[in-house]
Amino acid sequence: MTDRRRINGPLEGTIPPVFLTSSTHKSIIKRSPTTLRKIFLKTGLTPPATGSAFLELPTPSTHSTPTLKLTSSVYGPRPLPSSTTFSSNARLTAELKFSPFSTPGRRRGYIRDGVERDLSAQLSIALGKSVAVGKYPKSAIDVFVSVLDCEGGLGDAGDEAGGGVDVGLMSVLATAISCASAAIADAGIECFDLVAGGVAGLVLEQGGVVEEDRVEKSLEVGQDSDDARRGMRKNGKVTLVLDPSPIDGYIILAAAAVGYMAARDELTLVWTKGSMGWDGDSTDEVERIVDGAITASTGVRLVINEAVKERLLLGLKEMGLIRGKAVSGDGDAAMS
Amino acid sequence: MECVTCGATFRGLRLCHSNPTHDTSHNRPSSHLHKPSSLPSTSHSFLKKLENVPLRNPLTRRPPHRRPSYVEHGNTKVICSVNGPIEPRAASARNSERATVTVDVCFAAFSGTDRKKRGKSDKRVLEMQSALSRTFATTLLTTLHPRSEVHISLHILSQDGSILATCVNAATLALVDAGVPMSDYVTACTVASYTNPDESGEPLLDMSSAEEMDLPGITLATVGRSDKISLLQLETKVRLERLEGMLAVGIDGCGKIRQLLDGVIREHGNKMARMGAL
Amino acid sequence: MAPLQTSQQTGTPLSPAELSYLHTSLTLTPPIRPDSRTPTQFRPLVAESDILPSTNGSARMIWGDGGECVVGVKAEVERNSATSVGPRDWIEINVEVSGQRDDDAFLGMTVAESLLVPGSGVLERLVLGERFHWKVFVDILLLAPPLSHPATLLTLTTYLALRNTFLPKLISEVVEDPVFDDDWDNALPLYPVGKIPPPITLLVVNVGENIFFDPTREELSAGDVVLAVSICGKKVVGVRTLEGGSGGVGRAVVKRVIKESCEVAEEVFSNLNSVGEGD
Repeated sequence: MTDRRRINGPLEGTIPPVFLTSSTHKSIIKRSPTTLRKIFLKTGLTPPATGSAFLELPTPSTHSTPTLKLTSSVYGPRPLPSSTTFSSNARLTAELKFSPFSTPGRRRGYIRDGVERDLSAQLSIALGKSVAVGKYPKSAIDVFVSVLDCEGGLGDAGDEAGGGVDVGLMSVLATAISCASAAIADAGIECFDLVAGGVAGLVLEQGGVVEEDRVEKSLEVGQDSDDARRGMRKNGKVTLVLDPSPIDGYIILAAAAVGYMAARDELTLVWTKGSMGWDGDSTDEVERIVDGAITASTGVRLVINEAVKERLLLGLKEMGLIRGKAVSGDGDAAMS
Repeated sequence: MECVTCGATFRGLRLCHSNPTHDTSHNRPSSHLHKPSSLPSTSHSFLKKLENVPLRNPLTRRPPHRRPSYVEHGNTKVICSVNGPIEPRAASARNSERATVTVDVCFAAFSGTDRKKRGKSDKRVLEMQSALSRTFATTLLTTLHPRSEVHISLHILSQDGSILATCVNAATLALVDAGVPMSDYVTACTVASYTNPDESGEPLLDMSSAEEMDLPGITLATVGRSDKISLLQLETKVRLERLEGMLAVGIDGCGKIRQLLDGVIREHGNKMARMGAL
Repeated sequence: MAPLQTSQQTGTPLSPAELSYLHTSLTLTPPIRPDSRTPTQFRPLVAESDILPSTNGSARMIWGDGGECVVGVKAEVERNSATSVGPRDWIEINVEVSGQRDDDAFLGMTVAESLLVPGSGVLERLVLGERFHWKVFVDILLLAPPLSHPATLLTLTTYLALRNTFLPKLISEVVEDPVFDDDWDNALPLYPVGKIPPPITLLVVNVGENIFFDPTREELSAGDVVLAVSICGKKVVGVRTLEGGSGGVGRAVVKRVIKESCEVAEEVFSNLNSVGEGD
């Protein structure tokens, strides 16, 4: 007589299911190091907001791989609540939120965590310096960015950077800056300039699998890594990559994200990770990486310009000021 | 330091106003001597400039109400800073008759043997806070500052028994330095009931944490030179006939600490006066 | 450039006229700082290390403007978890600001990012055989927040504490459970002198072409961009932009900021290393 309340295992042995691992991590790099990904950017998609924008990076060949998609909406300038003290400038607040389903690995909670607070603070720093806050006294400008999909590399548990630094957060921040900047322009808020975000990284170039193993070993030793790097730098193994993606499979030694106002040639945000030499080498890594990030953001700036212009022409056409010829067919602002 | 009547001894006691660099009483046993080193460390270029900018006691350049006191009882180390009388930060702390005394006690996560983070709503922390605020509310001349708040914030950096007593002494020092009017010093110490093998029943003054684990003991605080007890805490069972002896030893110990505090404060005052701060 | 406007974030009580005066005097060549310091000069500070016997390493620092910070480092033995997260969370950093309800995650992140740079060689020192590792807790207690930004105060204090952090010497074999040498004199430093230095973060503000180290609160609000440059030994391990200031910064100035902070950092390192040896 078997115990009915007991849950018995199956009579015959079973084989645990074996899932095919997704080959996102070690995908072959098709993009050349100095090519940026194409960007889809469209403004004015959220009707209730004063200004809004949607930004998407193209999906790589396999459909399961995540890409970066985010929306941004701008509210304001609207009056500050009566309880707040007088402010002669507009108060710009920026909030960045990951959707619960946005990360490839674990689900993200609704409560703002440290990473989101950090990115929100950096976003508001980068945007605040470009908006003419002095023009809007006693008012608030609220910027909301929500990340719908991202590529990982956020420094969470389970992410592997292969001994390098994570660039996921940096590319999220850089694209969030570009997207929010387009939304601010769409809202018609006065700015000194538009801010575009760009990321660049110094990577160890990897030939084959053997090469990669050797690199990882040298990184583990730590103390020797500097020497190994020095050697590698001499051999020309450290290259600059614009717009690196966590799914490219690079081992990134150092990365920088900047917020760049191209027309004024000024930076509003600098964020670097990873150690960089400065010791007066012919290849000064700090200069290289900052210049690289600025180059990347200059490319992004062209896309923002196009998207903003397109929206403007559309508005003029609706008002009947110009003929409809000026708007391009699919409304797709892209660059390569 | 010997207690006059009972011969009980305090552990090494170190009191100082504002900064361990200006400590006065080095009575610490050498067993747990770790060199407290302190010297103004600045960028090299600052040192060149030193003649022009007179480097005064760092505490005098601090904004008022930001001058912490530092008290060590053996290995128990507490930093206390007093802010006030200020406008109450919470509406509940506003009383139109008198100032309210609020206390924040914070155990540093690294203070114990094992790392442990105590939340703000920890039972023990709340109990200490209310005991301290009630003790000082009676001694401070709170009626002089109606509708204001005196905020005492205590940080326990290292714990080795007698924590509440150390907190009281640190708070007294900081209150005097902040210039909050009070009728007299409040000083505290702990006394343990201990049975010798020869049944003499001599109480022990100033318990360490190992003694606190095994022996029943009391924490008591007295006001000034009088024998008036303003705080008495007993967490375990003590035989009734022992209690009186323990109280006598404790009151004596508190008097002794009062002398030490007084000495520190006077020396600090003289120093301030010499520097022209007063 | 720098449109004259009070900084919205720092909320300094400076009138537009005061701000304009300050901005003008800081853009002069040579610049004039309100407290007559040179651009690379720090305010005086008092520092002491190894103050708490119950920690593996500790330090305390009092900043010129009233900021005070205590750092305690404690290490515990922990079993390697099955879900291998890797050594990323072997160092945990907590910042507690006195009088604030929440711990400040943003400050902690600035410190953590520079501490956990891959390849610094510290995480490898935490391995204890095959199954165990040290878990290091760095608790930063900001007793009195300084008037200017606390990042420099925090990291300088953390530097001192970490430099004086010692871990008991392992005497067991790699495969056994860890057993340690009881003699504290044989303990090994977490950051061996001369090999791996802990990182520090310097705050730099630029006003036009001029750059200033250790800015006061007023200078922060008059500046264009506030940068926190983290330096470990001779390498830059992180740059961040902090709140404060109004306006952008040219790329040449950013590069100069980073270069000069490396030079200043060397002086700071040598001064910090003399703490504890002086008496």
